[in-house]
Amino acid sequence: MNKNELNTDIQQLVQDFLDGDVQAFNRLVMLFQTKIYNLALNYVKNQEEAKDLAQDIFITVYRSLPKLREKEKFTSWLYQIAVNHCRNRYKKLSRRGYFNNISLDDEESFLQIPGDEGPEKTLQRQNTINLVRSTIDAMAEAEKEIIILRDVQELSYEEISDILQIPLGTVKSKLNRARTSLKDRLKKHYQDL
Amino acid sequence: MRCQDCQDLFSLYLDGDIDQISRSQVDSHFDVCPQCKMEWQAFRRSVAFLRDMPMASVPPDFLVGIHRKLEPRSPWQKAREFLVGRIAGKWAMSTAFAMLVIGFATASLIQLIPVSRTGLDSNTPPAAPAEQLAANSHEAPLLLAENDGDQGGQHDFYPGVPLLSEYEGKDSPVMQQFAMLPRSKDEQHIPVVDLVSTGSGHSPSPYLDTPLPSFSSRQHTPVITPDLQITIHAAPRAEQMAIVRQIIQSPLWRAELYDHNTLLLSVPTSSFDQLLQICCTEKTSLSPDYARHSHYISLKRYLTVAIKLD
Repeated sequence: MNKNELNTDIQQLVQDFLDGDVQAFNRLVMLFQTKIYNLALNYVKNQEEAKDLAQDIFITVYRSLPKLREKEKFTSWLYQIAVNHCRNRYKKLSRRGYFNNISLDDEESFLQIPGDEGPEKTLQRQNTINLVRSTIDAMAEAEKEIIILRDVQELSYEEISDILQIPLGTVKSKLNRARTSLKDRLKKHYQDL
Repeated sequence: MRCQDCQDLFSLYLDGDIDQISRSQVDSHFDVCPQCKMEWQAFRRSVAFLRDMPMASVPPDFLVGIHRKLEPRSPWQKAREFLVGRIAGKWAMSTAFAMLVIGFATASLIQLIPVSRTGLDSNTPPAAPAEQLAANSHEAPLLLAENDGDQGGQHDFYPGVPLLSEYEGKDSPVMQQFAMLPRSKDEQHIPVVDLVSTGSGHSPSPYLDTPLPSFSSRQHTPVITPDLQITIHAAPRAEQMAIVRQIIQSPLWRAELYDHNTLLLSVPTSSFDQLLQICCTEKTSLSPDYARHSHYISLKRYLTVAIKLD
């Protein structure tokens, strides 16, 4: 299914939900739950907290969907809610000193590595994941956010522009800076990768 | 094309969001600048690492949890969930630590504060009326429950009432009154024992088929009317106490002190025969007398029995 077909399906589900079909909301959740849960995980670094946060995001979507005017922009609208929720939760937890008690090992235990490779390959891949993840965590918040939206969540420039409410040109330049920053940080470890 | 201009286009070049002219310029620059080409390869590789990161799978009860959260909840439920979540999730360790510190501090304080006998005496409840004390002065009042540590000491039948052995002596008149005095004015009322629900023509007990309510909430419950009364006439006090001890220590029924002379039992009908075995001697009397035969009272699940000392 290409992106256009997916967008058409999403619009249909939104319309069905607005017409009173609650199952359509469940299908929307099924479509986006993995991405929204992982987005939340990138902010809060804890499975229980991410689950609670992602559920809260979908609850806001459920309650606010009747107010959405441009149905074709559902994805951007959903991510806008998600990013706002994530930022707020991140700030709240930071104030409480929550992130001081989280170790990187806890954070990585939830990532699934395909098990069909040999143990040596699996270990190597695990090391790469650890390194990339710690590198992203060390980046500035704004850089981290835009690079995740583009390269992990696979959103388009236009969608990111809508979500972060910044001009398209700014998205492009910020993304280039973020990716260059990632490259510069990872370059030191290339012999380990 | 300068190196910086070339590297500014890396992102668009990677995503294919670049016009044909700019793409050709970048390609030409790579041919003449190995440094930019190396940077480009590192750039592409690092983004590939990121795109290759595995996704965590969603917990299985994710959707169910959303619907559960969408269900309407009362403010009380919300407050409870908030508190439980805070205590269980975030503050568990700090709460446990705080409790530990408070516990140690309290224990230390208790060790430090001297226990004065006069202080204890002043804390005892008001003494019995003067005339009652005068009437009892020639004969020491009989204790229904001594909380004797030696015999059946594993049962504390009257939580909150201190064990007599913890204080000066078993025969201390002050402590005897403390153990026997009713806890409120209502409890000074001796139970009426003229109603039996076991035969025709008698009014049914309001406690039919329900166990005896706890005395701790007696202020809110009506005065209890027992189904029958067993009076113990045994002459020496030791003999009376032996019977009372047997009654109190049995796990078959629940015993509560009603007043200084009366014990109330909530006896399951199935255990009534065992009670009769203890009580039905020549030194006891039953009111009504036909209650000696348990088949008269088989209709009820619980019997309220008053044990009185003669």
